[in-house]
Amino acid sequence: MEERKPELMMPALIAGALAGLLASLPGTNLCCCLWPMGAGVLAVFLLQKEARSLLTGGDGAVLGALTGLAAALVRSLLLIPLQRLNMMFLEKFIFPTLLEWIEQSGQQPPAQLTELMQGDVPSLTVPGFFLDLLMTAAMFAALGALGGIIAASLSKRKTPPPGQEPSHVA
Amino acid sequence: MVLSLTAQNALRPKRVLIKAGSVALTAASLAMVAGAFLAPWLASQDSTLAPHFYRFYGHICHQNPSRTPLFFGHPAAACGRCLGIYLGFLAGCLLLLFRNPLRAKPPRPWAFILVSLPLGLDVLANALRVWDLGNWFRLATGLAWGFILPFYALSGLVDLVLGKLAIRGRFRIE
Repeated sequence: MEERKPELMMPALIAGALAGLLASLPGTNLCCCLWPMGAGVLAVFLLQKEARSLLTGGDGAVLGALTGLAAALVRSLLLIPLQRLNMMFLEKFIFPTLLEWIEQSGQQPPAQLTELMQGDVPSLTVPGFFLDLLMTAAMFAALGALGGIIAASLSKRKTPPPGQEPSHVA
Repeated sequence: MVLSLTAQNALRPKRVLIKAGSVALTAASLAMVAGAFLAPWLASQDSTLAPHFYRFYGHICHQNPSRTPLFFGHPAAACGRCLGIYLGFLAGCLLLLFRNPLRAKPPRPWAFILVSLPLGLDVLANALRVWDLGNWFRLATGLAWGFILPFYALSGLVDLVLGKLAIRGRFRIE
């Protein structure tokens, strides 16, 4: 059981790092829940390709959750240096469309959005960072697990080679 | 303790696990749905808790006001599509609660593709500005997609717990 743990970690780290990067870059970070779920799917396919064995839904859940945790960590760390770039993207591409929509609809923009448009970005604190990381990790782990289960379930439908049964990895 | 289970009573732990899993998933999805509607209500009451709710959902939703339905005069904590996914997930969970637990199997791949296709196409078309069919369409595509997810989630959850129990030798199926 212990011997197989590194097998789980490598696909989780690769897929998690990719999802974390996409979830923090301006533009792609608007796709939100797609990346942790997609990372869970990718991690399962990477492991299955490497191990040449079929995974159960439970294995998919564990692998997906690990991937989600890795993605959350990468995202939270990358968001620190990318905060300025993300604000520039919002100012150039998102805020003009939003202002136009607000004018047309006649609705009051949410208070948080108004503050953001005025350039009032909350300053980063250590407790704030860890709280953000904790919440992101919980959500990404759940979404990653779901992606992992779906991937394991979809690939399980294929007929396995003779004598090869789905096995529990963890 | 190792319990030797006969074929008949071997199904019992699985049945109990599936029921427990269904209840846990239903509770979690109910909390997500309730929170998404609670945020605008709190905002309408000028509660200091409202920003925390919005921030929580902001981790997995862009919360673009033009794509978010209004409740109590304020936008929901999640966009139309995410709200649809949460509501669909809850509906799927409720259905699972009333189904025969042993029939709970992950849906076939074609079913997953069928519900993913409208959502994927709409996301792509919105991103490329090909069409914008509005929040109700986003909600509908999210609803269909969210509905199928608990069937996967539950099967994975049960498989995980059963697998762990089998590894620890808590029970053996003969």
